[in-house]
Amino acid sequence: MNDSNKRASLSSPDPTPSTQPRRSPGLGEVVVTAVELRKSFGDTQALAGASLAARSGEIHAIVGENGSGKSTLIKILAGIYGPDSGHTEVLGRSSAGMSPADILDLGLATVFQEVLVAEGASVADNIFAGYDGTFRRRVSRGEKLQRTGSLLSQLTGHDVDPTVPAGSLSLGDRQWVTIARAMARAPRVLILDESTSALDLSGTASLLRELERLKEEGVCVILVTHRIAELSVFADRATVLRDGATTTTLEKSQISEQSLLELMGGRAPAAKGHAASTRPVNPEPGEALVDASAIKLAADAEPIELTLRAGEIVGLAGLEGHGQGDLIEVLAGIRRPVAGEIRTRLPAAADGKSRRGGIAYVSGDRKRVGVFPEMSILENFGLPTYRAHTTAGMIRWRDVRGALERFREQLGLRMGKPRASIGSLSGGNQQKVLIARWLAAEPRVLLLDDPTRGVDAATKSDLHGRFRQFAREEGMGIILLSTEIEELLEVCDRILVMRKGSVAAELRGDAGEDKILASMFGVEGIDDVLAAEREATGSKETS
Amino acid sequence: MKPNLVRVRQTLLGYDYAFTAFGLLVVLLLVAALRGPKLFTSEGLTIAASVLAPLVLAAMAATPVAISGRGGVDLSVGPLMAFLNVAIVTWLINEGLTGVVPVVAFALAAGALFGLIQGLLVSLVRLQPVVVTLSGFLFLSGLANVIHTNGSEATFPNWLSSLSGTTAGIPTAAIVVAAICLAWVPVARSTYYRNLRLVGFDDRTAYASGVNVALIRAGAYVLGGLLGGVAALMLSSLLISASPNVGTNYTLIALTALVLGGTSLAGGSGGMVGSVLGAIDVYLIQYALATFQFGKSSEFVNQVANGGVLLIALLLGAVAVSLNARRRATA
Repeated sequence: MNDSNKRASLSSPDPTPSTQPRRSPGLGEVVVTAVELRKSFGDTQALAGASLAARSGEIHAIVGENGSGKSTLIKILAGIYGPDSGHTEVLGRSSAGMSPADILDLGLATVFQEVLVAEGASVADNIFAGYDGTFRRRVSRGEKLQRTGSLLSQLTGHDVDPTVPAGSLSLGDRQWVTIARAMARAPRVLILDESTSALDLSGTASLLRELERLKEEGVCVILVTHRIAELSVFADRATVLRDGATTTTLEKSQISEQSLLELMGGRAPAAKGHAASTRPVNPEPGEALVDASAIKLAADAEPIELTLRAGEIVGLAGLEGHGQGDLIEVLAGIRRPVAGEIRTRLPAAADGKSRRGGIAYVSGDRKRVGVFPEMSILENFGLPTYRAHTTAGMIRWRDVRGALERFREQLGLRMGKPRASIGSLSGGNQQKVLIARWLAAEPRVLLLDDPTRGVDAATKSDLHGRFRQFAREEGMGIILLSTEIEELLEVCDRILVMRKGSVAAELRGDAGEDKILASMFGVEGIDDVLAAEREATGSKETS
Repeated sequence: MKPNLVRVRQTLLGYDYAFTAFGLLVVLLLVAALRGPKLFTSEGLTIAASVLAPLVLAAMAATPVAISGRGGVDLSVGPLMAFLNVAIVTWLINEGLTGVVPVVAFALAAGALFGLIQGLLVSLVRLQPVVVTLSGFLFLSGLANVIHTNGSEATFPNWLSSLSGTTAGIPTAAIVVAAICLAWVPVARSTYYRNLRLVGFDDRTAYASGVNVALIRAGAYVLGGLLGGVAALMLSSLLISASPNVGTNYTLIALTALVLGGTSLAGGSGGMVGSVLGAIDVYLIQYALATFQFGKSSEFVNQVANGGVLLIALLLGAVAVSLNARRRATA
C-alpha cells in the first residue's frame, strides 16, 4: 500500500493521524493505533469515533457494554471491515485498505468472537489456515501435525488429535483451535475478542497465563472480555467504549471493577451480587414439571435423576465437556440419551395454537443454534410465535412488532429498525432477541444453555432478576447451565455439579463457590487448581 | 508390517467418501460379467473406454467447483464440452487447422478462459454459482448451435479419432484418462488444493485466517474449465463430428457421478477418486441395463435407474453416517 493510496482511502482526512511521538523501539512502543473510527451497518451505527492506542508489552483491555462497538473495532483492526472514516495503523504502517491476509503478515493476529473453525477440515488444517501462501507451502505437513499437537496440548492440557475434523471437538476445544491459530503466527500483536467465553475456569486461567508470557516477550495483547473481574487483575491499561465512541483509556492504577462498570454504562453498577448467603432459596417449589429418571449420557456414565419443579431454578455446573451441555440438550429433546426416560407434565402444552406452556430452550451458542443471520430482527424474534399472531394463516406483523417492542424495552434491546438484519446487531443484543423469542412463547419450562455468554454486566444482572421473577411469580421451572459460578450462585435454588457425564453433587443455591469448585474438579484436585490460579494471578502482582 | 497396515488404513480412510461408489462398482462389475461378458474383451474395453472418457472427465471437471463451496454446482460443464466440440470442428478442422498443438491448445485455453470468467463472476462479483453456471449452460448451449454449420465437414484428423482406438493393445482413451488422473495427483497434494478445501468447508474462517478466498475459488473454476477442455477433446474423438446438443446429458451425468462419488455440494469434502468411480458406475448401470431388451424405452429406463441408484446411494451414505455416530456415542 503506497502513500497516495493510503490518503485516498481516508474518506475524512484526520488532522492528527496517530503521529504520537513513539518511544524508542522496544517495550512500550505504540504498535496499534486507531483514530476516530466510524462505521455504520445500515441504520445501526456501530462506531462513532472510536480510538485506541496499544503498546507492545502490555495487556490492553477493551471494555464496553453490548453494542458499544468492541467487536466492530476489532474487525476493522483485523481488516475484515473497512471503516467509513478514520485511520488505523499497525506496527507503524497504515493498514487502510488491507485485507486480513495483509494484516496477518504485518504481525497482527486476531481471535474473533465467533468460534471460526472449518468444521469439516482437520484440526491441523484449521490451525494453519492461511499460514501457507496460496500456492507455496511454508511448513511441511508433518511439522504442522507436530506443532498442532504440541500447541494444543500446551494450551488445553490434554491431547487433541490434529487429524480429526475440527467439528468433532467440543465447543471449548474449538475455541482453543482459534486461539492456537492466532498463536501459531507468532504475532507481535494478538487480539482476543471474548475468547474466554467458551472456556471453562481452568481454561481461562491457562489462557491468561499464556497471555502474561506473551506480554513478557513484548507482544501487544488486546483483550476484549466481559469478565471484568479478570480484567481488573490482568489488564495494564483499559480503553472504555460507550455507544461506539472511546470514553477514556485507564491506566493500571485506575482500573477497578467499580470504575469500569461506571464508565461503560455511565451509571452506577447494578447492585452487585446479592451476597450468595443472604439470597433466599425457594423453600417450597411447586408440582413437578419435568421428571428425568435414570438418564445415561454415555454408556459408562452413572445414571442421572432430576426432577424440575414449578417455581425453582436449578443450576448446572461443571468443567467443560463433563456432560452438562449434553444433559440440557437431552432435556430439550435435541439429543437422545443413551438410556433413561423423560416425562413432562405440562398440561397446557397441547393447546395447539401456540407453544404456550411448553419447554423453551435458549442457547448461548448463537452461531450454531439460534440466530438466522440473514433474517430480520423481527423474523428472528417472531419465529416460534407466528401461530399466535395469525389471521386465516396470514401473519399479523403489527402484533409481532408490538410484542417485540415490549421486549425491546424490557430487555434494553439496542437496535435499529425491526426489519433490519439481525446480523447488524452486536452479539449481546442478538442474544437478547433470542431470549425474547422464547419468552414470548410463554413457556412453562425454560432451559437456558449459558444464556448470558457474551452479555454485558448490566444486562446480565437484569436478566438474572427476570429469571428469578419468572420462577417465583409465574411458576416457571428453569434450568440454567452456566460457565460462570457467580451466575449460578446469583440465581439458582439448587445447583447440580456435573462430572464425568453424571451428577457429582447437588448443592443448595447458597453453597459457597469453593464447594462448587471442589465438586467440579473432584475434591482431591481442587487445591492444585486453586494454587495454579493463585500462581497465575500472583505472578502479575509481583512483576 | 504393522505400521504399514496402519498407514494403508489411514490412506483408505482418507477416501471414505468414495466407499459407496466403490462398493457399487464391485457389484456392477459382477453384474456386467454375468450379463454381458463381452465388456471384458479387448474390443469391449476399447469401446467402453472411449465412451467413458468424456464422462469421467466431465465428472472430474465438475469436482473442483463443487469442492470450492458456496453451493458450487457446475451446470455448464456439458454445454462447455459440446461448444468446444463444435468450435473445434467449425473453427479449426474445417479451416484446415488439424494439428495436435492448435486443437489441444485451443480446447484447454478456451476451457480455462470460460472457467476463469465463471470463477470471477462467482468469487469477485459474488454471484451465486448456480446462477452463473446456469447462465453458462444456456449461453454455451445456444452458442454451440449458432456457430454450428451443417455444411460439409472436413475429415477428422487421424490423431483425434485414434484417441478412441488402442495403443499397444491398451485403449488410448483409458491412457488419456489415466494420464489426467496422474496429473491431478500433484494438484491434490498441493497447498493450493488444501486451501481450496478450507475455502469450501468454511470461507469465513478461511478469509479471517488470511486465505485468499477469491483467488482460490476462481482457480477451482479454471481447473474445471481445463478438465472440461480435455473432456471436449475426448468427446470429439468419440463422436467424430460436431454435435451441439449433447451438452445437457453430460451435465446431468457428470453431476450424478459427482454426487454418487461422495463429493458434497456443500463444499469442502469429496474428491476426484469418487467422481471417477461414480462416472464408471453410471456407465456400468447403462451397460448392464442395455443387456436387457427394453427397446424404445431403454433411455428412460436408464434415467429411472440413475435416479434410483443415486437416491439409494445417498440414503445408504446417510444411514452409514448415523450408524457411525451412534457407535461412537455408545463406545
